[in-house]
Amino acid sequence: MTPHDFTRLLDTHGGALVLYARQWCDSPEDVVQEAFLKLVALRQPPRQVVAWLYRVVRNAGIDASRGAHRRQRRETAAVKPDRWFVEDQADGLTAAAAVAALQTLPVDQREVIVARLWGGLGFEQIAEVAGCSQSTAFRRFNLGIEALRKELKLP
Amino acid sequence: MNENESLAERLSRFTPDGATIDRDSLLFAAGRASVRKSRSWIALVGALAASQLATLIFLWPRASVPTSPAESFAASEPAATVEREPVASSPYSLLRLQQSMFANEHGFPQRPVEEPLVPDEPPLHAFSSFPSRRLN
Repeated sequence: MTPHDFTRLLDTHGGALVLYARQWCDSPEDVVQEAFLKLVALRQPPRQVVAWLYRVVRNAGIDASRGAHRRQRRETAAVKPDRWFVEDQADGLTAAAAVAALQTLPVDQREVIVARLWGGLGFEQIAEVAGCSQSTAFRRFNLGIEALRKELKLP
Repeated sequence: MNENESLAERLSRFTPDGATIDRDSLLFAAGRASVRKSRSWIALVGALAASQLATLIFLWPRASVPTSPAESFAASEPAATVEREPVASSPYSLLRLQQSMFANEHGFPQRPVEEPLVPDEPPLHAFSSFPSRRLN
């Protein structure tokens, strides 16, 4: 992997990976950074780099959420507000409302929605990352979107 | 289902905030992590040190130092029985003189006739005498 490829990968998927890691832990930047460093240290890059990054971030995020510093991280995160999206508003939806609605979802539905909408992964890749079947991933996505629509009080 | 797709499309217009990643420090750390740690030089240095040590062991001068006088005498005794070739020495060496004196009842041996040390004729020179016509 050339430095140019690495930089492009970071610029393209860095934000989505941070958002994905945010579903489990309060220090998503550290998790994403560790995932990128693991990618660089590989002798042979994986066949599907993006899906591999999502899987590594998922595992590291789950591990970080179980860590001993969980409370301390939460206190630190409480000081600085989390900003999930760049825009404050898009297509009639406010970012705050979207974030609030996303946070009401179960994590298994939320991770599928994040990986699909902002990560651009296919359901096959999501199923591989999340460790479930493709139909399960598809069902979780639809259930989550349905719940979001109700939460946002959209017709 | 159609409403779900439109909501998904609207949500996807939000851009995830990746500004929290310290891009420069990540690229710096990635550059450091991408360097392959070669351990071949360690093996090379080890092999060279081992060969040096082996050479030192095999070529170290082995001087046998006797531990006690008795052992040294016992060690030197067999060497005395070995007959050695007489060392060719000068007829005027001290050993020869002593041997011949004790062997001859009349005293010291006669000095052998030798060639005179100073030659009779003068040495030859390339230009022994300057030509007389040049002097004129």
